[in-house]
Amino acid sequence: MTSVDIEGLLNRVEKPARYTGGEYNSVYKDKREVEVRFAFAFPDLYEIAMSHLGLRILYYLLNQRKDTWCERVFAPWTDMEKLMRENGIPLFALESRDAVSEFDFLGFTLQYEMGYSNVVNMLSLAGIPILANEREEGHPFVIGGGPCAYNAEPLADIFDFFVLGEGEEVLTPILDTYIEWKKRGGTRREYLERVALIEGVYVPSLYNVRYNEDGTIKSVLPVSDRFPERINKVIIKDLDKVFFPDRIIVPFTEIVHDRVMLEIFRGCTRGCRFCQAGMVYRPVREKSPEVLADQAERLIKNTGYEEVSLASLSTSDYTHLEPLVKQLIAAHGEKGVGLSLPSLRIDNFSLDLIREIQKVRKTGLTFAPEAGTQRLRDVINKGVTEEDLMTSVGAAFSAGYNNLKLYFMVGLPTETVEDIDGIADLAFKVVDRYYATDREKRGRGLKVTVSTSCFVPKPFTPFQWQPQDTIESFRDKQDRLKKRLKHRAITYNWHQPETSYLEAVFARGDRRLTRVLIRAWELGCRFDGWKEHFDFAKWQKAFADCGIDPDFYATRPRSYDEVLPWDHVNVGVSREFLKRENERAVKARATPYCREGCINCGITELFGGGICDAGYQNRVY
Amino acid sequence: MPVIRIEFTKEGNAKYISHLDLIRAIQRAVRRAGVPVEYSKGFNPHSKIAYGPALAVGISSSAEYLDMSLESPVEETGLVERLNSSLPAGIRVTAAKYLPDGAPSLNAVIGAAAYRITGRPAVWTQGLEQKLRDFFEKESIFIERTDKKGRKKQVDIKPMIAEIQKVLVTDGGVLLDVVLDTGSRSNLKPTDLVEALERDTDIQFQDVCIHRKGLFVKRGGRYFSPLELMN
Repeated sequence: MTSVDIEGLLNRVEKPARYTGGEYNSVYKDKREVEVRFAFAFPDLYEIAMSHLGLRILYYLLNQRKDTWCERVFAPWTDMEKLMRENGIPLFALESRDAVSEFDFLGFTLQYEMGYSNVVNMLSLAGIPILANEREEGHPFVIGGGPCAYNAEPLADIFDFFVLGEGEEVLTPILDTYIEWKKRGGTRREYLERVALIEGVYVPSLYNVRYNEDGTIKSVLPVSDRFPERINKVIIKDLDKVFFPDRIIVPFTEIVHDRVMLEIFRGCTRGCRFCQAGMVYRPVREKSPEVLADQAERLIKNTGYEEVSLASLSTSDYTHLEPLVKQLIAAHGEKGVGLSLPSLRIDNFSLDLIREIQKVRKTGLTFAPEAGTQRLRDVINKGVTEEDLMTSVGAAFSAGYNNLKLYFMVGLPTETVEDIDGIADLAFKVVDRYYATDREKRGRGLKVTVSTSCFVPKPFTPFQWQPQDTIESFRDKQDRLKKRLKHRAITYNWHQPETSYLEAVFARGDRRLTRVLIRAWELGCRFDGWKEHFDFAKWQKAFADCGIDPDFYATRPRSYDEVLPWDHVNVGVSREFLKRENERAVKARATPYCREGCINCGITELFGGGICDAGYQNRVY
Repeated sequence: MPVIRIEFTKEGNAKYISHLDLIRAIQRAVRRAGVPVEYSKGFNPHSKIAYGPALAVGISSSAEYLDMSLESPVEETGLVERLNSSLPAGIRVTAAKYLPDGAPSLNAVIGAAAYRITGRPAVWTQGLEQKLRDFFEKESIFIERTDKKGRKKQVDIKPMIAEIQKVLVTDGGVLLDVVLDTGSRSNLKPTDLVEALERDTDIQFQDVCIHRKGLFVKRGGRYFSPLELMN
């Protein structure tokens, strides 16, 4: 193993603690005593990477194995990258400072498309061939997981394989097979052919893509009938029994989510039609409050953190939320441990809960109506009404909150100018509601932040066939809102449409985009999710250089009979369901939420029934 | 409430964390150790811990200090052990001692810091040691500082160099042991001294390494550690 010496570099970079390792609860092992060196990679800055719950879980899960040492490696910021390149220092793992090129696995978690150029850059810094077919014996297996792995076709030529779904259980056979294969001294191809038979593993080099003359896909088929035609995702069936760490690394330097994250359930009972997470993380599986209370206790004790956040896609949908919150506050509130509840929904937000949280610490509140009119909220199936919002907002103001954030999307399917104006109207109604609140009760100095993101149609959602709005149209809508949202209490934030456009290209992209990605990286693209680094002109040049029209991926409507690049992946939610939901969407017809009755999304078929906590017996479709 | 003064190191990876990060790391270690530290009242309760002069990122130290206010007295040795089993690598408590009633704060008493500065000259020149000695014997050494209002002014740092204990040039490089004014009355950062040295001589260092050997209270022309002299 080649160790790097970075002492001379650390005094010359911003926040050297990003690169030192050695944080409390980080894991150190004797490298001579392990069989597998695993580098868990997150293609972004330390502060982002360390906030990721999946990393926190899998790091300890892998390190539970005596034969495996899992370390971390993140994208060095540009100052550090420059020094590393100047001094010939390869990408290294934070714990051992060993070069990751000599590891057995380099496992990336793929959370968002804008991190793809960092994946390429990290491979380059590591000295690992960027294309999978150029790697030789002795190079690590470059593997990927996370939400973007469900359609990882734009990265298909870069990765050796992908893990689809929840990694906790499937990593065991992947590593066991590896150790056995390594002892036998097999070829790379042999290992890939063996893991391709493990449920949840997708080896893209074992699948051939053929195209039609119009550029759409004709077929994606395995090279041999030994491999499955469709790759199923894997899930953990019982969350109470699955591994959850009792400690997490406590970083030296402040990170984005610098707190204990307690995962209360997976999946989502809501059926928001734009939301990929709400579809791909199905079925709904809750953890019991007893297990959660115990995990919180141990995590607080072992980290010293002063805040616990309840993590899920829609926290207020957790069946036992109120007793859990009360219990956690009773157990830890006196010691000054605060509780935060992100992802609260507007309709079932209870004043009692606000009061409970407020006993310890007052944080800002975020609401996500997503669309400005009831019609459009029905299109996206965000089952909240203006009345819901006003009731919740009123309750929050009466409880003394004065800092509210409202999240919306622009460019949703069927959107008209009325829907855009509806965003501004709603914001002003919130402001009016504040002034209508009893002076004695309300907090002083109202602050309403309105944020609009640009809608990105994602695979495995009912909107996967929909075109994205154009950059020009996004900009017009933002300009309209800028003019209409002028008020001293309102701050308006908007997303760069170019970023969302590129995100849309890669989200629904195919294998032909790998060349574009590598070209963009050659032109200097990295940290595309960061405003200060994103350079759309370079991306445009990369598309032109490769002769690829990005509009083909972003703004083109697809027909139902088109083969989509991700059709050979099965996330459980059926194509028929997605189609039905898209049809209902354009007619502005809402679909009930899973707890009101099963809407037959298909997930229970994949896992043999009974798996979904939302109660599937009462099928309404 | 009893107040205990704690001496600790900041070395290894921990030398790369900022003062703010250090405060957070210690707060969390105190929670993990279950030390009955006193918390302030109000919406955002914070532990009552007062720190000595901040250390710049990248400078290690073998003796930093903090004063911690406790809800109830705890036996010193046990406290040191508990904290050490909860602190991240690089931060180690080396001593703890209760303050007498009404003892002044760390920042009120600390007046000097001893540093060891080592570095390799980028180019080896003749008479390196003499050049260093000449620099330290200058009558005045002016550097530019910006005051709180953003105005630039020239400040003579020569009187802030309290002592030059060692100037050594070996094959390995240059070693300087210096004592510099540190604290609210008069303060000289070791990095400013190195910068002035590079500016006034033709020596350019690479890989400069600065280590704080200790913080001191000056009394009657002698130096005492803040644990030796508490009032």
